[in-house]
Amino acid sequence: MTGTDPDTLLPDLDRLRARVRADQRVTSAPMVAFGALILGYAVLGGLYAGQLPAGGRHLTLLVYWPLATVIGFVVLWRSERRRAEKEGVGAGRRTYGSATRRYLIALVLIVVLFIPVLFVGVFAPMIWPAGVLAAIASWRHDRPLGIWAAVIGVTGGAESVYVIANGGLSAGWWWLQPAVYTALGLALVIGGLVINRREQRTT
Amino acid sequence: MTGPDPGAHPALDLDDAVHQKTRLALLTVLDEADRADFPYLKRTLALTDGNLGRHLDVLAQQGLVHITKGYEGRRPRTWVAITPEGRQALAAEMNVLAALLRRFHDNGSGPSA
Repeated sequence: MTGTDPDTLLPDLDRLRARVRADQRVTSAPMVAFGALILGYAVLGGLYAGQLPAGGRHLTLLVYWPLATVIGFVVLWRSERRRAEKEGVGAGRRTYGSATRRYLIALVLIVVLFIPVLFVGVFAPMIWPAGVLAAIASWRHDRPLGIWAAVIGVTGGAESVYVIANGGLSAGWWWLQPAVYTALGLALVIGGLVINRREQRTT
Repeated sequence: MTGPDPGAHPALDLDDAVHQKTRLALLTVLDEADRADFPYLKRTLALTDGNLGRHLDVLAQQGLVHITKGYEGRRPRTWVAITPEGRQALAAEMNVLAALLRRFHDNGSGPSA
């Protein structure tokens, strides 16, 4: 804080807000959490579920994102509580505790009223985590996270459209989906870790 | 009590309790974090114990922050949380500062672009 002149004071206050948000790991924490969940999906969908009969595979992929999202939110909730205990900085007005509760209510409504929404996790699986990250970005006013969500959604969506338009992948291309999902998951985790280092330097 | 004259200079709307730069910084940190402990505020704003305590007392007396003293295990820990009145006061202050800045630039006395 350099002075009381509005011309310098307002940018100073913006920098202070940015520092608190860096301490809260606003951008990096959801990137690493959902990047890891995308990697989990790549392993499950590409390796494990591929060995199951079609019904079992679809059921596994159908429940993966609804349940993985709960795990992601709970992990983020616990990490923000641990950060508050260890570093003394609160999570802000919009906590992952309330996000988890809201998501669970939305999930019950989806299961009861809009069950076809769950098939997004089977036919366009990257749209689900991209949608969740976009919702977090909008909820916490975080532009970089919104950009990452758009990249995941557009890339994963394009891959799904290509697969659906071609009536599935031919035998020689079975590896394409797991490769794309692994690349997206790794990009999110590595990008999150890089941003995390930058956030630590800001503090 | 009458409200401020609509033609009056926006600087007259500044609230002394909030406008002081350390208190403004404290409210800004707390607006973003919702709550923070005493060492975090001290570290982030590079303040001494006494200085931080005095400013927090002023804000608490105005009802802009709420201070909770307790223990975690055997270690004393003080948490400071912003109140709804504190958020309102900060938003009002930011509006006045933005109005002042606009006026400053409109009068052509600001730094050239």
